[in-house]
Amino acid sequence: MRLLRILVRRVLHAIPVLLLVSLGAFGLLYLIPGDPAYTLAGGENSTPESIAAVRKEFNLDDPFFQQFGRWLWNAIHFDFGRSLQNNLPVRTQILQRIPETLSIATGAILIATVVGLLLGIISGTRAGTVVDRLISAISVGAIAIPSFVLAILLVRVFAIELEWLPAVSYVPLSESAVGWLKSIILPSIALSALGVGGLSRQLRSSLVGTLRSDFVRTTWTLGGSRWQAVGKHALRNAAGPAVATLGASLAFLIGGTVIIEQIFAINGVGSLMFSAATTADLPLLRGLMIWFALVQLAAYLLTDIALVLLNPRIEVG
Amino acid sequence: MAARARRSVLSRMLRDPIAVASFVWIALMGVLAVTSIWWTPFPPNKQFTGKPLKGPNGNNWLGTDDVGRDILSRLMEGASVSLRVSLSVVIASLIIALPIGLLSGYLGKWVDTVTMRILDAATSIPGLVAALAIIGVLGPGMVNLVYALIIVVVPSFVRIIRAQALAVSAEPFIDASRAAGSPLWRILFQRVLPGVVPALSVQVSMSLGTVLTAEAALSFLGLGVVPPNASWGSVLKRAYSNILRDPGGITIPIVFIGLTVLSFNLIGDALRDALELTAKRQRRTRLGITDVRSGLAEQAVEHPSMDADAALQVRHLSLSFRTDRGAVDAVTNVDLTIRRRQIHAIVGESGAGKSAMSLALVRVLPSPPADITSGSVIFDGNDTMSMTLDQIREVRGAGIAMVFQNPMTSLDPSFTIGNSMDEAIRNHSDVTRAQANRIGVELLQQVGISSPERRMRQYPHQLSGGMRQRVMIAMALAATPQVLIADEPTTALDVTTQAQILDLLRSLRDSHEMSIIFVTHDLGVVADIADTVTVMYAGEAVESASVERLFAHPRHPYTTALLGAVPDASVKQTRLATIPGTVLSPWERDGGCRFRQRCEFAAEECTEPQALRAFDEWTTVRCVRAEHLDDLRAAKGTAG
Repeated sequence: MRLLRILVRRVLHAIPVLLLVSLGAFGLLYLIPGDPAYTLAGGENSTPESIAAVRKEFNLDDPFFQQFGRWLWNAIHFDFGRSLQNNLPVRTQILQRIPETLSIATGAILIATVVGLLLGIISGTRAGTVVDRLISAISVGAIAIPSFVLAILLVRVFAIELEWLPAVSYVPLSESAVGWLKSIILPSIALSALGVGGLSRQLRSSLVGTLRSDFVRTTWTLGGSRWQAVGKHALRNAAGPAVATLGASLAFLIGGTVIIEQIFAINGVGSLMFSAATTADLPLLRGLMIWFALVQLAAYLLTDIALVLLNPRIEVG
Repeated sequence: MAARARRSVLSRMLRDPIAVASFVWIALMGVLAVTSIWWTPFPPNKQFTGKPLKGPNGNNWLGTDDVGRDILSRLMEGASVSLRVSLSVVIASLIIALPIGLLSGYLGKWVDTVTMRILDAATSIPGLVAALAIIGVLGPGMVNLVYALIIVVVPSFVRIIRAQALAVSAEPFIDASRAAGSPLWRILFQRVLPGVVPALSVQVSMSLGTVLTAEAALSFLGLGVVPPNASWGSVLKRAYSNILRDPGGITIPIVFIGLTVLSFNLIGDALRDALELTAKRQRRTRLGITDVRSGLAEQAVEHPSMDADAALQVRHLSLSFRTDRGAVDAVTNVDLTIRRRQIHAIVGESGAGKSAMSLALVRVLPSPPADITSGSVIFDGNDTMSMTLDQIREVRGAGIAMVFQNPMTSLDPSFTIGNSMDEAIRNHSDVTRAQANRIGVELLQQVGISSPERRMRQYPHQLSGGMRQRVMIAMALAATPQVLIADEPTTALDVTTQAQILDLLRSLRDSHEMSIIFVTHDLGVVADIADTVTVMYAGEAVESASVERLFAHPRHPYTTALLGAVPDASVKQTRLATIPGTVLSPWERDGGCRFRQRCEFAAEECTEPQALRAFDEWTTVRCVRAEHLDDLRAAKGTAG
């Protein structure tokens, strides 16, 4: 009931946000230098006929709100028009690309959660030791290193020198489970670095705090074990900020797919974004902006749900 | 004032070797970038014919790329381009974000609501995606890259400026400026802005790293800085496309990008630490048991023969805390005997070491900072000071249990009362969950909680303070301890609830045949509940006696002063009697009496070390002049 109330609030809150994102996506048109119809029709390759066709297709002669209204109406029905490059519906293209992106994103989230959790617990319970300092240094490095730089290093070491894992060529899960796993390991690691560093760092500092809290002292005075004090009470109460940090790093993870997919030649939504940008494919760019916003809002929503489940005190907020 | 604060932040950062190294690296990159405007070893685009992909040599110090261009020259130009892009983006974003963030935070209301909605929308698209979309329609190139990145960075700046401005605007001095009729721009930039600067400076440093990363990423994709211009991202792109022919080629651009981004992040971290926006680095802490460092003990403690009627016997217990200025004695050589079925009060001003002493009995203070430096605590024939964690866990809860001052924070907010009760019960007995639940309900009933079944399913935040303290007491009773330590259990509660809790403790002492150690600063409560009492001052026990004896014939000047400080409701007092002077800080202590600087009756012999001694058969006291106290007070009375 509590969860439902909060969910409804958050979804309602997302509506004006999505409306503004739509306005932004639609407004990309006005950033095109010169006459947008000329550019969209192919620039130097355009003909008066093709320019006229573009004008008609994009309703460029209509008043602004009529244009936006029509585009928005279609967008609500997940109709973002057709790509300028291959004339395929934008929606179809995006949907086709999801499995590959989902594979590496899931891998990255898993790695970030498991490794970040482990490192955070180890350093948080051993604050001040050499191990803690080592892990803190690793975390700082993991946060600072750009994902594509890490990707390149991974390719060099594991694909080129050791030849353990492929650098390119994604294998679908339906084809070979092992091949799929091998093909997503390096991109997943590259994407996960920020999450690993962020989570481990946040969890460490939260744990240091909760281990000194009054309720953990209560656990000790009742004859509680190390497991009860650390694993149950300290960790459970440190989990909130850690989950929030992990949620915030999802935004970077999602954005990172653009460049990581490019490096590992993965045909996901990220590569689609890249090719849309290089070809100035306006309908595709618009559709992708909405898509990425939806994914990120969904990620935030999931984070909020986790936070609500973790903290019995959250009522509204 | 601001200048001094800034200088101390800077000097603190300069003491941090990591921050200094980061500064040096950034400065080096800055020098490379600036130099490259006038001079590079070779023109960055000059091609050396016949020697592409050559390693470092005397001529080309860092080698050449795939079309034979000097890599050092290209990286120098790259430094200039990359840093220029990052700086332009961050400075332009600041100029745009400052008025928006300041206004939004200061004005609040609809301005803030609208700003926040736009921010939410702007940040709901990943930064790199937004930048790509903008470049996609604007076209690649350095200027468009700067525009795109500005649009991405501005929201993050606005958010932090707005949050800080919101906090600063609540300060009274802002109201004063407003009332004085200062114009809006002056309030914003002279009053609000200074409060925003610390958090913002951290964000700026971090953003320089983020923007540099984004620039490198987009140039690596071929959508940022494009030929003939070189940036680190485009140099890396070149090297990566030749990775199979020359795997080592990526190393140098990666080092440049990685170290520079890392340096900006580390400077941000150091800045945050120097501004103390985060907690200081933690020292290593042992979990769950206070260290005993008996090597520091002044004397070996003889194992005292247990008094048959004593539930707990404390001898020469000393506890110290490690601080930046060295070890500080919080408790010095405390002796206590707690008799069975008695309530023994420990009384003293805050900071007297009462709580530290009671926590030391079962060693729950974390080490460091705490160390037990001497003494023994004999419970049930064994010394808790020589136990391991597993051994002392048997004593905690089942032998000696504790109730704390603040029931608001002492119960884990994330678990139900039932869950916490279950833990307290099953720590010490082998019962099933269902049995534990039944016992838990019974315990809640015993401590006077109505509808206990329902309470078991509730969370701490759903209970009142008094109710939570009852739950804490029920948990402490779960394993039928022989000694209950109640550390200021009523301080955080309102007066009616206080009286109820005191009644409850008294009745539990009788029904459970427990001894209770009652820690308090309130002599009224002592008179109400205790059988015997120990007065503590500056970490020492200065007087122990039965309650009747202590109130009727106090033997230590501190006790008499304390009794004088009790507000007596029956007498109309114009003001509360207080003890003049303050407690000596641990660093000012010498071997003598710790109270003598505040003592009305101090004399020459008080500079000698004072031992706790039996005054008569009822009272022990730590004062050389105790025998003369009555005369001295009488003399003082007539003189005054």
